[in-house]
Amino acid sequence: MNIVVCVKQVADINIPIELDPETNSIVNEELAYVVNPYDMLAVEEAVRIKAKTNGQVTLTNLGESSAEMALRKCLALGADRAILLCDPALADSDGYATATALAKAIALFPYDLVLCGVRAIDTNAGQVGSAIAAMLGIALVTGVTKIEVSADQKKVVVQRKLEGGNREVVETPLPALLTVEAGLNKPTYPGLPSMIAAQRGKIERYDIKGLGLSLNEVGSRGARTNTARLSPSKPRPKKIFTPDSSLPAAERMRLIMSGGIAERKGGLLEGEPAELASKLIQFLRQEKLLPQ
Amino acid sequence: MAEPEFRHLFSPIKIGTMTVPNRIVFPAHWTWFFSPHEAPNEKIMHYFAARARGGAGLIVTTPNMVWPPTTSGGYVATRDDEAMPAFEMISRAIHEHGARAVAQLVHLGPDTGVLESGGAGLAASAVGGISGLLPSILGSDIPHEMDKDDIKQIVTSYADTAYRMRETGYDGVEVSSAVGAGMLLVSFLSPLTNRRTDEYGGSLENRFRLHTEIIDAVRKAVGSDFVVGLRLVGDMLVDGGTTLDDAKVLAAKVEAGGKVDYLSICAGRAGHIPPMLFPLGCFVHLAAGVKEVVNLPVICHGRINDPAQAEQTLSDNQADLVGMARALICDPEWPNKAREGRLDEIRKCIACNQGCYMNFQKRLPITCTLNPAAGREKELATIVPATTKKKVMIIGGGAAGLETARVAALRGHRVTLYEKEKELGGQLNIAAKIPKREDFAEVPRYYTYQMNHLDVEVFLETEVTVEMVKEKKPDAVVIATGSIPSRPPVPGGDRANVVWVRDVLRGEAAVGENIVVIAAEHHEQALGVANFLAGKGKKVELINHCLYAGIELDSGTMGFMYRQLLNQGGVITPLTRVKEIEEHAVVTLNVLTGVERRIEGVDSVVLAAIGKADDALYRALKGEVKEIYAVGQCLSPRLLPDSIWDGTRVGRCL
Repeated sequence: MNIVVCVKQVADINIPIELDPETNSIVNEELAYVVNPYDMLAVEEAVRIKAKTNGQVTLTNLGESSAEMALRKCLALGADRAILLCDPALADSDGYATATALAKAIALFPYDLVLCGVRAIDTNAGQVGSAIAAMLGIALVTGVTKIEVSADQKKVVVQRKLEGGNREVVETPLPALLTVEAGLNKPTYPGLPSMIAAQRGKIERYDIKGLGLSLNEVGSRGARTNTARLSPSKPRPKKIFTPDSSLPAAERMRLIMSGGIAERKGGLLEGEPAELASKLIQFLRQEKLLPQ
Repeated sequence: MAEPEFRHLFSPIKIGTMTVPNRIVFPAHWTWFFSPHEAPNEKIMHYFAARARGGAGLIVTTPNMVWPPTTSGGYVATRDDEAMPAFEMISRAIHEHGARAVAQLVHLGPDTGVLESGGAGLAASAVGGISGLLPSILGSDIPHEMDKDDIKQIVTSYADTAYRMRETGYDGVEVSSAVGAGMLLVSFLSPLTNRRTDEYGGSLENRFRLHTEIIDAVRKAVGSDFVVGLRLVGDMLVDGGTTLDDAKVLAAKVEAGGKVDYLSICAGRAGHIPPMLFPLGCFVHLAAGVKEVVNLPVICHGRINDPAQAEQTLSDNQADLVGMARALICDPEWPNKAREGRLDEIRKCIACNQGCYMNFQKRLPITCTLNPAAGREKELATIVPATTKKKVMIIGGGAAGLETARVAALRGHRVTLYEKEKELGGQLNIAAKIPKREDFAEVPRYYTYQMNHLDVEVFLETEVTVEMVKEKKPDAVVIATGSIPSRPPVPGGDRANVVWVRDVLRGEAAVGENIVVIAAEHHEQALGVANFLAGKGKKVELINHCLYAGIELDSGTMGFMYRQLLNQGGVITPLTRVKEIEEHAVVTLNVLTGVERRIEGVDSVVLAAIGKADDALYRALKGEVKEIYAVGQCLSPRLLPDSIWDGTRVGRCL
C-alpha cells in the first residue's frame, strides 16, 4: 500500500514570536523550527499502516532548503522516501497554491492513501489537506482520530472528531485523503541508528518545472488569499478587582483605595501570662483557627 | 544591554497609522509653564524633549486650546497661526528622540470662566458651582448654556485645531473628555451637569452626541493617515455620574464608529491624580474593563511607577499602553533605565503630589519633589562636572544632605556623608510610619543606592563634632542636620503628657487612649499622626487654627487623609487654638470668636509642629572652614521639596 504524507516545517510556537508592526509580518530571524505536530502523527500512523500492509511511505514537503531537516526527522520515524518541493517561485504560497504544488507531486507516483495534519500550528488555516483531495478528485475525511485499513486494502474505516467530544465513524474507499487530529497516536521516539540513517537518506528535489507547473499557478500569483493584517490574538484581560458600578461612589472609592481587600485591624493583647493565654485561645477559636 | 526583561513594555505597537516604539506614554497634563494666553515656550519644549530622550514612546502634549473667541476672548489658542512655530518646535523636539507626538485638544468648558478668559465658561447646561472639596482653580461660575450655534462653532474649532496640529508635524491628536482638560465634553456627558432636553441631553447616546460630532469633524479634517485618540473617563466616581458600565458602552460605540485609533481611560475628578494613599495601578481596572469590549489600543492610568508593575499590567492584557505622567516627571530616564535593567537607579514617583499637583493648584509651574530639575530641564537637567574636585564633607543623611551628596558626587567631588542614626533618610523614615504613607521609604531606598553607586563614603551612627571637621580638613562642609523639637509657647506646653509628633511616630513616646493633636503645622504631620493613632484604636481630636487642617496639602492628599481619619472616628476641629494644657484637659479658644472650650479626659497631647533649625554645628563652624553651607531644615525648617531643592542647588555650586 502506497501512503503519502504531507509534512510542513513550522515555527516553534512555544518560543514567543515577534511581529513587525510596519510590515504586518512575523520577524523571522529569531524563529526556531519544528515539524508540525499533527504531521508527526500522520507520519507515525503511516509507518504503522505500512508495517501492517507491507507498503511504502513517501513524504512530501513544500519549503526552503532548510526544510530538509523536517524531512530527515520524519525519515527517522520510518518513512521510505522524501520529496522536497523547493523553488523560489513557491515562496508566499497560500493554502491553495501549496495544495496545487503538493497535489501535482502526489500525482507523480502511485498512491492509495494520503495523510495530512488537520492543520498547521503556525497559521491554523486547515486548508491544504482538503484542497489536495479536491484537486486529486479523491475522497476526503477530516479530523481523523483512528484509522483501520480493510483486509483487502480497498477501503478504510476511520473515526473523526466532532464537536462536544463526539466521534463519527466513516467508511471510505481508497484512494482517499485523511487529515489527522490529535489523539490518533503517540509518536515514537526514533532510535539513534534511525536518526543517523535519516541524515544519510536521499532527499529528492523538485522545482516547479519538474512538477509541470507554471509561475502563475504557484507562489503569491497562484494564491487565492491575501493577508490583510497580522496581529496577535486578543487574549482576555486577566481578572482585576473592579467595584460594581451599582455601588455608591464613596464605596467604590473605598474599595479602589483598599485594592478590594477588606482591611482588618490588628489587636494587641495585654495582661498576665495566664490571662493572655486564654485570650489568645479565645481569639484563635473566634477566627476558626482552633476547633470550638 | 541586559536581557529584555520587560518584553511587553518595550515592544512596539501600531496605533492607527503611527508606530509607537514602546508602551510607555507620557500623558497630557497641565504644567503652567506658560499661561493659556501665551504660545508654548522653550521651557515646555525642553520638558517634553527630556521625556522623549529618556525613552518614552508616546508623548501627549497639552494644553492645546480649541477656543472660539466669541464668547470669551483672551486665549491664544492653537487656532491662531502665530502659535504654529511653537508647536512645530515641540513636535520636532519629541521626534528627534524617536518618540511619537500627539497633541491633546482641550476645551475647559464650564471651568474656563471669568478668571481665565475674561468671558464666560461654556457648558451643556447652566450648571456650575463647586464639585470638589475646593473651588476649581479656574473658577466656579455658572457657565453659559450652549445653543446650537455655539455647538457648531466648537465642533469646527476642534476640527481646525486638529488640522493645524497636523500641519505642525504632530503624529496625532487626542480629544480629551477627561476631568480638567476635557470639562466641556464632561459637562455634556455627565447627567449631573447636562440638563438639556434637545438631542444633546437625556440618554447616554444623546449626552455623547457632541463627542461623536467632534470626532467625526476632526477625522474629516485630518484625513485617514493621522492618529485620533479619545481620552475618556472610565468612572466619574461621583453618585449620578457615568460609571465603568457607561464607559464600556461608549468605548464599543467609538470603536464601531471607526474614526478613533486609541482610547485613554482615566478616572473622574475625585481620583484623577491619585495621591500616595492609593495603591499602585489603582485605576487600571477601568482600562481593563474597557479593553474587554474593544480591540482598539487602550492606555491605562493611575499610579504606575514600577517597570515590573507596568509589564505585569501589559502581560495580563489589562491595557496596551501605560500612562505615567508623574513617574516620568520624577525620573525622565525611567524607560531607558528599565530597558537596560538598571532598576535600582530608577527614582520612583511616590505620589506625594507636592511638586506637581500642589504647584498646579497654586497656578505655579509644576516641578517634582524628588526631581527639582523637572520643569527646569534647560538649567538643571545636565549636571556639569566641577572644575576643581573638592573633598566635600556632608553632615546629615536626610533628604537635603543626600541630594547634596548625590549632585556633588555626580560633579566629581570626593564626598563623605555622616549620619547619626542607623540608617539614611532622616525624617523620611518617620513620615513612612504614617498609614498609607509608607511610600516615603522609597526616597531613602533611592538615595542609599545612589550613595553606593556614586562611591559616596557613608558613616552611619556617627555624630560629627567641630573637632572632627577640623581634623578631616575638608575643602567644603555642608551641614544638613535638620531640625529639633520646639515646645509650643502655651501654658502647660512643657507638661509630661505633651509629646512630639516624631517621637509618637517612632514609637518612642507612650500615649494614652484619649488624644488631642495640636496642629502647629499645616502639611501632613498633624493629619498623619492623627491617622496613625486612630488606626491604633485611639480616640483622636485634631485642633488647628486655620479654616481647615492640612491647608498646605494638595486637595487630593488632604481629602483622602480626612476620609481615612473620619472613617476611624477621628474629629477635626478648625479655627481653634490652645489656651492652656492641663493634666487631663485642654482648654481651647475659637480664633475668631474667642469662645472658650474645655476638652476633658485628655490622656496625651501630641504636638505636630515643624521644629526649629538644628544649626549649632553650622554656627560653630562658620568662619572656621574654607567653604560652608547649611541646607534643608538646618537652614530653615521647611518641607521636603525645599530640602531637596537646597541639595540640588548647593550640590551644583560646590
